[in-house]
Amino acid sequence: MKELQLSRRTLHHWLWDEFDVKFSQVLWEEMENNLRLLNTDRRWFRRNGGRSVYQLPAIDTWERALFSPPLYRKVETSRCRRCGQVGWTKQAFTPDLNEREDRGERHNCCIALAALASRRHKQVIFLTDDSRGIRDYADYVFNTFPLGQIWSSMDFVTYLFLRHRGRILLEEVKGVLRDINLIGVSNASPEETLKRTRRLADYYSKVDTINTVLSQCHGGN
Amino acid sequence: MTKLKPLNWNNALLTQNPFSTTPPTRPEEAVWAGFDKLKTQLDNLLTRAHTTNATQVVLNRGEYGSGKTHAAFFYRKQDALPLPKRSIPHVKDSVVIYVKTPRQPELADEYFYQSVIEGMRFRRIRDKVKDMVTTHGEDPALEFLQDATESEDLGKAIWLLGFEKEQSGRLTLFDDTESFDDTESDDWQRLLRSYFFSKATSGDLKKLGLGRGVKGTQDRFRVLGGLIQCFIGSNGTEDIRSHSRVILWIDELEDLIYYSTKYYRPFTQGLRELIDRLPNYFSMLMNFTLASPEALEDVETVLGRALLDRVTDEIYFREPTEGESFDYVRDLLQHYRTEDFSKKGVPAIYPFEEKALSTLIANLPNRTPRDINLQCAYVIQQALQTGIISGVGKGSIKVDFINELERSRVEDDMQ
Repeated sequence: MKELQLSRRTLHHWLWDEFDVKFSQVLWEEMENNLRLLNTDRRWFRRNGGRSVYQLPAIDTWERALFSPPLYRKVETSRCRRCGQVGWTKQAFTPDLNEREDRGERHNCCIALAALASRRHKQVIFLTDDSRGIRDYADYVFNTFPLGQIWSSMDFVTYLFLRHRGRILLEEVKGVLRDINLIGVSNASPEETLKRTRRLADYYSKVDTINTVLSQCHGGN
Repeated sequence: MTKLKPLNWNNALLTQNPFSTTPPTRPEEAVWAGFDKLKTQLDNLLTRAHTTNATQVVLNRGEYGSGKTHAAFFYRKQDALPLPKRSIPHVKDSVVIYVKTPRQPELADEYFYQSVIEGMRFRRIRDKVKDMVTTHGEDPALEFLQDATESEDLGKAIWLLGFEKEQSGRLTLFDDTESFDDTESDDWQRLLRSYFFSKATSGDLKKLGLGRGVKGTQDRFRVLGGLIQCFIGSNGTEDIRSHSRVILWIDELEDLIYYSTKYYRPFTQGLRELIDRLPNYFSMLMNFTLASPEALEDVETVLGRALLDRVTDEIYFREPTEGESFDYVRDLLQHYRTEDFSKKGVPAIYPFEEKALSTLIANLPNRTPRDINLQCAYVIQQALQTGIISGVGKGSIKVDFINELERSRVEDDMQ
């Protein structure tokens, strides 16, 4: 999540204030390697980030149990020339569990499962903007095990607006949604432009509705 | 395997491929075919631009490939602009400036600013400033420009464009009939160019007698407002004949979705200020590509409510009906006929036979001009290369050939 701010607080701070944040050791190592990219939160992360690591003994066993082949992922196969409807298929794939790539995502899935299985948590929100990670792992895990929901950063920001509308301005939240919507832009094809425009329009519509409904119920607060 | 013949468009009685899928490189090459209703809408809009004083903010929306960029190119040709009858009062002239939405958000305002200035041409700007000074006098012109830019320095810088510096250091009105051997004046103009392109050093500013340069988005849009106002003229608003119309045609505004808030806000704010600063004789046409059913919601998301609220006209580049598509192909072919065409006595849609062209159009999944062009070019090329058209005006494209190509396409899709 970028170092974006709402009501003068970075989204990281909001996240830690709102939730019991946990992630895997592997993910923390990746984050530590990228701390130089942060400005405001760098020192805070160095001091506190490690405390959020969820220590799951024998996590490799969990990983092998959860992601043993065959795994299936939903991939786009074609697009109808007439109506533009996308064709999907379930594609079998075998992740190389020895490879470091995607291990952070897989281990986070293990932690989500373990957190519920241990009875310490009742529901999990799996926060990620990695669409490939969702397609390959999180979708399967969250569709199979009723753990909770997968959120993107845009969902999280929408949630913050709902919870703290008195402190966060509508225009401010829209600005942050616009910025998050740019994460992972690699090309500007007409399809990509449409996809990102639609997504942003959807979230604008959500925060507009939240704003309208709460205005009516709370009289502007 | 069939041996393919060389591609010779002359055999189809065409000077070249009429079905280009990219906009022409030069406006002079742009032709208009079919789409009569759309053309009438645009002509009416531009006629109003020439005969009334109100500023227009136009949203041109349509799918990818629906002809928005082509329309911008077409109307950049001066002879394409619909001029009203002499008896109707109209502006003395107009200029169409075409600008693409910058792809690099961090340089967006700078790129946009430079593109508009270059679209207006420095020499023309100088002429316009000179006209203003001649008509109103030096001091009132200076005051007018300082008011227009809301800045003493920016206004003065524009005012200086109307002058040149003699060797004695005295400022005299710029004379474009003089040859370019006056190095003092050339240096003066180079200094001003540097100033407007934010390259002026503190020494340059001193020579120009200006306190500050053009810095930041707000300054750039203020200067643009001032320069466009020079073009428009400074007489009483109602006197149409003594004004010019500036038509700023911005393409690909859907790309604003790629602007982070840091760059999006000042850029769209700049566009809004430009509209608000120029309440008369200014047209801003905004091309916006969208293909979703929630089109208007998307436009609002990308452009913002404030900009959308300023829209005075909307033109929808809708998909043509089958009949309109047929007319479009016929008209387009007409623009590229060889001299032999009239002697051959073939139909207007040659090399197509009527049923073949109707079937080709009916088979199209989408009927934007781009889709029509793609398919027509493909079919004619196939006909030329496989010998269906074997010589100048010999052979034609029949419905069987269209069906055969369609079958082969479906087979390819299935594989």
